[in-house]
Amino acid sequence: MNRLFTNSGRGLTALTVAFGLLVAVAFCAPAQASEMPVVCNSATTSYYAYIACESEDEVALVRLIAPENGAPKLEVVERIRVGIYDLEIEGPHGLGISLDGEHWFVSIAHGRPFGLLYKYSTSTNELVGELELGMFPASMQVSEKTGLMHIVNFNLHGGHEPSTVSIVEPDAMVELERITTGIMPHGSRFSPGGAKHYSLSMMTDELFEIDAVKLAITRTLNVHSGEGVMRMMKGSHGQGGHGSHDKGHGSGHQTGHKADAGTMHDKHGSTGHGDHKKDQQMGGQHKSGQHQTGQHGDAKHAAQHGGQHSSGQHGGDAQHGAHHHAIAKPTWVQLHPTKPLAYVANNGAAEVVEINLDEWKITRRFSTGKGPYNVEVTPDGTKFVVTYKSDAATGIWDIESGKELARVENSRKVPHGIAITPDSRFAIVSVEGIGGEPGGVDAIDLTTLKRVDVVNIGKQAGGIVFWKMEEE
Amino acid sequence: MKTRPFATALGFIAIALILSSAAVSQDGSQDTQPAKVVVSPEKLEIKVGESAQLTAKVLDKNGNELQTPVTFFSLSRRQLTVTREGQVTATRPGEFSVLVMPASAGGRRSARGTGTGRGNSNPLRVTIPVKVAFPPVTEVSLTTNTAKLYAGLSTPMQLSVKDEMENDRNDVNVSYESSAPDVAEMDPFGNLVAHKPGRFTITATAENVTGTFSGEVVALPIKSFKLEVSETTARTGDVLNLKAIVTDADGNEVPDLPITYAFTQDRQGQYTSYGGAGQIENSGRFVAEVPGAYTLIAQCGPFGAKADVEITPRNVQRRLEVVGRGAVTDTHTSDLWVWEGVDGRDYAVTGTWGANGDAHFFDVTDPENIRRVSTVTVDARTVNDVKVSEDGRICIISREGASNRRNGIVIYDVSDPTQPELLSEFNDNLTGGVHNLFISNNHVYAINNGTSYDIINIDDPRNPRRVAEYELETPRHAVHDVWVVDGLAYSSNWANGLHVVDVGNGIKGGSPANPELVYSYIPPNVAHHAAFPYTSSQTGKKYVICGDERFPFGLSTENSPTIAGGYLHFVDVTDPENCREVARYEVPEAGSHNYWVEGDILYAAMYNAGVRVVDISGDLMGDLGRQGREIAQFKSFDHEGYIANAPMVWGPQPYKGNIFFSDWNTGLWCVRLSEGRR
Repeated sequence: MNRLFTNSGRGLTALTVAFGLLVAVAFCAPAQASEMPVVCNSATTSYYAYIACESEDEVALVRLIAPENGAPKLEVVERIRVGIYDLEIEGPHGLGISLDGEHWFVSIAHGRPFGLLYKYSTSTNELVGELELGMFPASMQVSEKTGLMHIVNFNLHGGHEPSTVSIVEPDAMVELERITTGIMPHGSRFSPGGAKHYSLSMMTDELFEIDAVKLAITRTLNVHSGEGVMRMMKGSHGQGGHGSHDKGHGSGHQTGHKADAGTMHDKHGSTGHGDHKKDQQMGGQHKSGQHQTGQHGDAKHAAQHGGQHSSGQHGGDAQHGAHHHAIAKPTWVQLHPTKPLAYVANNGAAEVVEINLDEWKITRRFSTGKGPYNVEVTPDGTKFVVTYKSDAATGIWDIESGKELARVENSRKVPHGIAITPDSRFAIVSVEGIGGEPGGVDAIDLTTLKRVDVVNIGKQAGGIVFWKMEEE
Repeated sequence: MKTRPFATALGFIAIALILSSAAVSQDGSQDTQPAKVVVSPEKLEIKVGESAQLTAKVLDKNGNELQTPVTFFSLSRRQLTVTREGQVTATRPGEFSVLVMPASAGGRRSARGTGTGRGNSNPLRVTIPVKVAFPPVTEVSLTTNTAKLYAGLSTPMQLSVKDEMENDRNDVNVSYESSAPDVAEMDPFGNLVAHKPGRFTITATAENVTGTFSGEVVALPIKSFKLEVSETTARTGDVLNLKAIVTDADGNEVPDLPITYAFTQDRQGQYTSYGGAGQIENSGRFVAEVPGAYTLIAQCGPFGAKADVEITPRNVQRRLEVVGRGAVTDTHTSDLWVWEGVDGRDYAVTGTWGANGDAHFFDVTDPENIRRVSTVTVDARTVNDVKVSEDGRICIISREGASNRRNGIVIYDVSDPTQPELLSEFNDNLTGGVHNLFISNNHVYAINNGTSYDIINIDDPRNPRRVAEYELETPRHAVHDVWVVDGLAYSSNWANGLHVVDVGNGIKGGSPANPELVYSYIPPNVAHHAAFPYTSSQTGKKYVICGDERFPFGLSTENSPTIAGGYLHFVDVTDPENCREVARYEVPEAGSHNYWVEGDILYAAMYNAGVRVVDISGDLMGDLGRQGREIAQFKSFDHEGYIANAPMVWGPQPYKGNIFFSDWNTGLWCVRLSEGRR
């Protein structure tokens, strides 16, 4: 018989052990659900994150070492040069991690003419895969439900025209689909479990919800006004219906230049069509190779483009052809780990808005510092952390009370991305810096609400992704 | 032994809770959650144009079928079309995959969802292999460009095999049969070997489809065979022209015979293990790389002739001496431009790389006393390029890595380079960064995000406006540099090579607002980085030098030297319809960057090999460096350089008898060719 239940005269011990187990269950269950290790009285915990240095063409692997007793310390484990053209700034921007943690991904903004997605091994930090995407691919995440990566094609270098979310199969590094959303899509985060994807249209103030399995837009919400739109998913359709993608992408896209009909919009998936601003400026003198293409840069074309591109699935996108006047200029969305809530950084409005996903409406507004850029919610669901890009500070907010607990000064100007450790203990913040100064990584203790260490990395430190936590 | 009911009950509760928690947390699912996807068929084999239907069912972990819909995706969209319902249609042959994914409700919820960790690392998915067979061969043809087939000679044949979809098929076995093997037959290398006069037919067979070639072999009509050479003595690097004079029994020249040219050289032991001492083409052009006596040979079947020539050293070597410096050692330096200012003094401007956005202006009127007279700082990490207008008034600075990500160009009035005046910035749709630029005739040609070059009118430099852009159409195109001379824009497009565009020359009716392609050329190496056109003063031939940029061992930005790669390709563009690469300049274990031609002298920045001065007079052929054409070299060592003792010459510019160059690690230099031999 198990000693736990057979102790002569030691019932209290059994009770204590049982209670202890209950406590253990209570404390460990959330972490087990995330399949991440839990800190249980370990001496030292190390947290690893990758950070992209956009003007250095590097990705830095940084470790935050947190001893049980002693000051946390950041160190640069490795600096990995990325890109093809050694002397050009190619702009690594977004970072992602595979579900099994064995690979990391970085998006490259530089044109060839499109941006690229690179895949690296986390064990060697060596390049193992490459995929061409749209213009300026940026933020990304892999769905726990489908295993597919959703990565927004920010198209900062193009005109104000609707861009896309690329759906990528990250094992084979194959692009399965592009879904047209809004102008300058930014942020790419899944709901817990990975069933729904959320991204923002920075220049139309819209939040887009995509069904991760059906790969269709289900809802949009204006994150400034709070007006929402339910989308009718027209069911599945064949990939053959997306022939225009292929024309514009890879070996087939040479066909996409001469004709200006809407179906030929996808010269390169995003750049070759409807560059209204440029075309208007050039008075129709837009040249592409030997071909005159200026005639297609009008609003009509853009509307045609949006409608045809969606192939029925992304209905209603034609409205983006007419330029919206963005007020909120949202840059990031993050989901609450346990509640149907999303938090959106309205960069242009100096606020974070809370969105109730069940009701699809804005429920709270949090007035923040200037230029809120990235927002992350702690895994325990109690706080969110926001970088104030224009204030050189990072805000830490209590979700329940809606109060800003602290505004932590960053080590230099232009804080960018945030990675929160799985134990909700630290926020690791990338800070771009200005001009020739190095980029930085700030570690903020979310308990003491203090910056506890800083380490220098390459210039314009931006995209960040948490990799792993280790106990020693 | 007594038990304690209360403790026991509590223990069971605890265990139950643990198990319950584990049951949920281990897979995050109930028994009715999808556990397996079964697809039928498990693999597909179809033909091009055919369709097939895949079906799938989703099972729970007990094997019970669930009513969960399944979604299908092609992992090769251009070759295999797949509807979301699983209908597969092959459009190209090959081996592909279909991804099958259940659209189950719920899914695993984790406490993550923050982008900082991972929950479910193994989503339920299946891939189905699809093999699409090539369509059958439908056409085999065998042809030759040779007008006559002569006994004793071999002739290369052109084989074409096409299938039902007009695909060229190089993957099928082809067999040959001759109707008269004693007259002519095919060898294993695709040549027709003619043995003796007579008629014959060759039958080529692939997949039971045949094609035939019928012809007649005639006797070689040669009575006399002589070899003429343009010179009997020459220097290394001089191109000699050989011509075989072949006549028949009537004394008439036989024009269409295939002549093979070759040479031997008496090296007298001093060039053991040298490799080839020269180069010869079937057109009859010959160049020697080393001095000595050469025997030149022409041959056609059993006939041949030879001629002896004497090659002497070129003896052009001189020495470069340092005149002055404008040292920049706190950052990397990028490009330079030297010009005569409106005040009659001479100035130079240099950019900076991976730094603070500085551009430095120097007074170089007295090159022995170069003075930095001003520095402007723009919002950028790299000012890769700097250019000054023809009238010396406008300086354009390129920007990459701007803090606000707007990049673009910055326009300064440099009428007084000691006080450059900011006139305007232009970053509209140039946010991806401008790496290189050029100014010509009040227009700026700016490389836009490596995608196109945009042409910007600066008639009013305070209000620049874009008038056109030039972008290639090929997949994965990227452009690196553009240089404009005589109304022609020479753009360098990496793997897509050189594009020469009329932007005002008139040859194609082009203008800055209406750029028109004149011709293009793709050098080997897929690394075409910069172009410089010139016309040989001696031969009148037109060349474009197409340089590589490669870093086979990576670029070291801090602490250690870089070993670059690549070389300069000399492309004869005299006939733009038939551009031909004829020569190269290469320095072993170093690489090319920017360069300039003045007169018949090349000034080349060869990165870690310093600045090189090369004699490119006369006709060009072969490896110019090995021919002793290098006049001088200088390596810009400086133990106080940004990277110490690491020459990394970026770009040269000959100017008023001196050679100015920028070095990545040490800034601005001025050197001069001395009269003394090296």
